[in-house]
Amino acid sequence: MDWAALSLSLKLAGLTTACLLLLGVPLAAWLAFRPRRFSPLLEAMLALPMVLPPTVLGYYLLVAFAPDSWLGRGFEALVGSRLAFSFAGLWLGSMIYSLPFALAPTLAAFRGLDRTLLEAAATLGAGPLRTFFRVVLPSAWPGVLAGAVLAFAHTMGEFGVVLMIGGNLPSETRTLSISLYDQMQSLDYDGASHTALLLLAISFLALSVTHSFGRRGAR
Amino acid sequence: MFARVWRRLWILALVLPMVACGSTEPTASLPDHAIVRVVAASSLRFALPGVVTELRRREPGVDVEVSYTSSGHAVAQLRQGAPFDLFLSADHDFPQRLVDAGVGDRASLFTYARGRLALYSTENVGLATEGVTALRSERVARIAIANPEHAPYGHAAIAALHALGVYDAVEAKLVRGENVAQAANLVRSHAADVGVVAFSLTLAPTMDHGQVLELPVDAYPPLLQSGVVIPGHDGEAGARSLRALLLSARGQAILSRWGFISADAQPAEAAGPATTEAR
Amino acid sequence: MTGLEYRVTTLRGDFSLKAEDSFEGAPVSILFGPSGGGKSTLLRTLAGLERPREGKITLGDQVLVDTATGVFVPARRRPVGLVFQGDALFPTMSVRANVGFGCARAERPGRVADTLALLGIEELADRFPHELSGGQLRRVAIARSLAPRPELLLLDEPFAGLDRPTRRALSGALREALSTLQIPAILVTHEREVALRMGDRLCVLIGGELRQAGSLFSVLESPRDLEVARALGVETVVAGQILDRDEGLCRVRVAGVELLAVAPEGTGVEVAVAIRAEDVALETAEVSPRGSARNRLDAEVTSVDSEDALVRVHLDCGFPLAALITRLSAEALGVVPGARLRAVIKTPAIKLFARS
Repeated sequence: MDWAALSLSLKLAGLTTACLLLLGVPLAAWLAFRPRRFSPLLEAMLALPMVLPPTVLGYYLLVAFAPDSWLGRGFEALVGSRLAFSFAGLWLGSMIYSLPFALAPTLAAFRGLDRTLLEAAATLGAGPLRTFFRVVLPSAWPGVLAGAVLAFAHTMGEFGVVLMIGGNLPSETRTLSISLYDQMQSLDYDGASHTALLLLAISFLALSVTHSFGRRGAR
Repeated sequence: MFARVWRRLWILALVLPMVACGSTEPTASLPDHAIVRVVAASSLRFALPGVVTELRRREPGVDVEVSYTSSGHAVAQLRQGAPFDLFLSADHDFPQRLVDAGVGDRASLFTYARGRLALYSTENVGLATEGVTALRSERVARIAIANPEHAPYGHAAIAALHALGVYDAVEAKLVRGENVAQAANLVRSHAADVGVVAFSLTLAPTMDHGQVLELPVDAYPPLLQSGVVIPGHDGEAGARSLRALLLSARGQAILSRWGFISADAQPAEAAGPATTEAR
Repeated sequence: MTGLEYRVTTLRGDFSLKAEDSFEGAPVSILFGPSGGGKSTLLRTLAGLERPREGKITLGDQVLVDTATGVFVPARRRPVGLVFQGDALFPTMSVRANVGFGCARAERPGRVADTLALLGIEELADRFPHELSGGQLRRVAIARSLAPRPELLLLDEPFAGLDRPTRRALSGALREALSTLQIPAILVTHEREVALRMGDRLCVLIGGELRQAGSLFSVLESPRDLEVARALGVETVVAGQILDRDEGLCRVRVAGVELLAVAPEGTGVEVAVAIRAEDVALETAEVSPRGSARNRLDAEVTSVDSEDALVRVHLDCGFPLAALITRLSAEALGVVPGARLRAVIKTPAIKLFARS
């Protein structure tokens, strides 16, 4: 069992999920409660990575991260190391790739809320933030949680994008799914089966958590 | 007001991980614990660890991380700026192209071994009795090779099949693995019946069930496996040590144990067709 | 200065609303009319959930909306409470938390306790919305809107979906609470009975236009036009006082005339007397003892409206009374303005509504 790869995958998935929560929840709230004319277009764009082949995304990320691109140069100046073939690059790629998975259940939960509740809160003097934390979130949290769990599981299992932009560097970019691939190629079938089982268990756990909370939220 | 708060959260969401990433920098910056990053051809999967162990024994402060892939893919990554210190290819052409593109120290370009091609099968498809012509039979439905586009062993496999006069008959049966180790995997998992793989790989402990038939060395252009040092990263010194070790008598002995021929050896000195029965 | 003054015009798609009214003090105004007439829209506009195309709303000394100067106070800053038709209670909060939601933190405990007591629901404080019955939910919703002590309370069909006993109890509690707190209210309903029970004032909204507004009885007695009259559903509504009760019946005095009617619940004296025109029959006047308690009233015809096979006869029998009879009968009786006839009203046809 490649413990380094496991810890790397957990770190990547954890960081991505945390950031997607910080970014995705306000974004979903904005799309659900303050829609603009261009909101449907924005939503479609954000959902794109869900249907995009990982290799296509990986290709564009590689081009965007290249040391001579503005992003690559900016990052290098800021942090002092390369963006491509780095953990930071994986994180950025995962953010883009897992965003629709975090956004969709959250957005659905927000949209499923009874609008009169929000109006009632307004007539009682609550501003947007108080309404969000006291009225929206207590009812919609199963959706937010489902989004977080899905994003986590999705990032754990990411392969195509990581393969393209990761470089399979053992200490930095060899995630668990890459490690599995590597073990297959080393003809280490025992190791490979252990890794595969672990990934399967994680996915199953994620799914059961999502389903149990989905049922609770439907009260 | 809502927008203001959201903007702040947004910035936080972007800055936080960058800071976090900054702190996940590998410890290569410490001079007494350098990490040497090597990207190597898949055919070296079993031979290289032995060399690495020897290097660690000689220089305890050095840590080596190896990533295996097809040689062509390695070149693509290196041209994108992948932070490797040493590139070990399965041929001479790829490192040459890399140096010509300005990546890699031209002076360090070296040939460390000569690779051999072999046929490998986990079932009895008649390699021992019929040799290469077994490939034509109906028992062989699929033949795995490495992708000729970016794996030198795949390119050599195509050449060998042509030279042996069976290419036209078997062309439709070819399936391509991403690199030569993946091709071997396809055979091992019975997705393919026979594979044209690196001889070195057939010596691996997990490949002990099956038939191996080495192909004549004059049937394909010589696989002059070469490497080059990529300067500018933290592990450059260690990379040069590894290079030296590969070229030394000790290194060559390890490589030879894993089925590689010395780079200077004449074609006639190469072992003739060898068949290994199931152990 | 207390009271409300508004004049608004709203356009939503192909629906338009035009309303204007004002009052002082803390009356209960009934916003009355058929469904789709714009009542909820007007309520939402007053609450600040909708923006009028043009108009001005002033509550007390505060200008809430003035399109001429661009003033628009959003809902959350208006001292206006709104009780929604579906209650809209926050499902994850207890009754106590719901009721206290609109109050400032320091005042919350006191206000919650007072308001719960006012609506008679102290024992529900720690329950959750999904545990409550329809009537209880409604009381909580009202308490929630009253707790912040707004300067105006708006209610959208607060009695919808409640059975008769629950309605009676709720209307009593609501009137008392509003009166105690001296908060003016605007109550939307399409049911006549609610208007009669609760209203001090009546505003009739038909097809997006506020047709008539004024004190309850003045509007009911003198509908501006036939459409308003029809919307009100009944021709004759007058104020009355119960003189005495006996075995389920009672004598009611209306403008000097005594009627015998089925006694309403309670012990109150002030009632609204409602008589449908269809329930009034006419007969020729004969010399017979007056003061009979069997609802035979001398009446003089003031006007006659002809409607196909039926005739609507307006009478004066001490108070305005309308009767609906067939044309045949009208001709046989010689119904013309000035004719003296007798109006006969069956005792069960006289509906009394307690007003205190």
